[in-house]
Amino acid sequence: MKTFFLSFPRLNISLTAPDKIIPDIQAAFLHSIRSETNLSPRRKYVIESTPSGFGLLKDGQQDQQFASYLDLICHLEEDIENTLIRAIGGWVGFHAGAVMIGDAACVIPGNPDTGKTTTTFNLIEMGHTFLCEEVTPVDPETLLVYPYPQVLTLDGTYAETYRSRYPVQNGTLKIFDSRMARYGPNAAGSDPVPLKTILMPAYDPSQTPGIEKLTPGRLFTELLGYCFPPNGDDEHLFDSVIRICEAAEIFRLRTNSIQSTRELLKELFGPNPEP
Amino acid sequence: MLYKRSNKVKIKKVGNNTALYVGDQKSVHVLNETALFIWEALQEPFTFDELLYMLSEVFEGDTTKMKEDLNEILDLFLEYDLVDTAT
Repeated sequence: MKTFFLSFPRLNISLTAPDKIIPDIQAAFLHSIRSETNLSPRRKYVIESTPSGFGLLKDGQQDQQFASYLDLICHLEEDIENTLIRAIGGWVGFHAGAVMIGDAACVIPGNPDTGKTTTTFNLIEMGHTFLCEEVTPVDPETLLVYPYPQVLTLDGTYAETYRSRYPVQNGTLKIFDSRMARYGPNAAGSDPVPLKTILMPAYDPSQTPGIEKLTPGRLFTELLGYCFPPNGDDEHLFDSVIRICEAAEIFRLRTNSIQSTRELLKELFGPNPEP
Repeated sequence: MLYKRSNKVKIKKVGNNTALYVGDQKSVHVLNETALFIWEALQEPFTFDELLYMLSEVFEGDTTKMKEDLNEILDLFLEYDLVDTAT
């Protein structure tokens, strides 16, 4: 058994796992594992091997049984996300990915199947620095985006198509089946980064690709829909999202293919950074 | 019947737009140009016909369409508790 200490924005976690899945845990939480053992964990997870797979203990209480390590890790990621959303207090938690472009953050919010994760994936593969997946915490006072660099979960068919056309060079892409692939970026930002851009992906194979600049008033209610429920009162969330909208440049990215996504991202952010 | 602003509503500026926040519904509504004009007019209570007259003085267009728009906006204002009515 080995105990890992994981550090997330305003959240420390300890995770004890049996030897046989240590490489999987290291891959899943690569950018969050810390060597310090003096961090006071808010939550303690223990994974046990059982005859039917794995058992998970959460803060000493039996949680669930899992037949495979992948089911277990997906559940752990979701549970950590839920804990993180409560831990960030008055910050805004967006259902979004984020990357660092130059010295500023680009937040990519969206519902499933709009192209949020694939846009994040493409930006990382184009050489930009990974910051967040699934949850993007933003401090509305300082307008800093805090890294939450989890593994990206992609559609398996999309990943297969991408890999047949482009080299995967900035991370490890593992395709499980036609529904699921997981992409672990090689590197991720570790410090908070000032927010500059909000990119709203809109994938539709029947539409004409293009970039549309949006005003805060046009985006505001839509962006509220991508916020996790606030820990404080709703008015604080509304005021925070207004502040975030007004501070950022906002674009909608209308794409209809992998190629159009990459071309529009190049148009918006310029040529790739040097590898 | 008179329409008047609900006292439950707070006004928020979002860039160049105006949003109305209703605390007890935990809802927020961004107003378009016509809705904002009507909302601003309702600092004082007015009837439908008075509001329609004000709209026609400021905006150009077909009166029938304007009447439909005003009706729709007031219905939405009432549905979302943004205005109250009085007799």
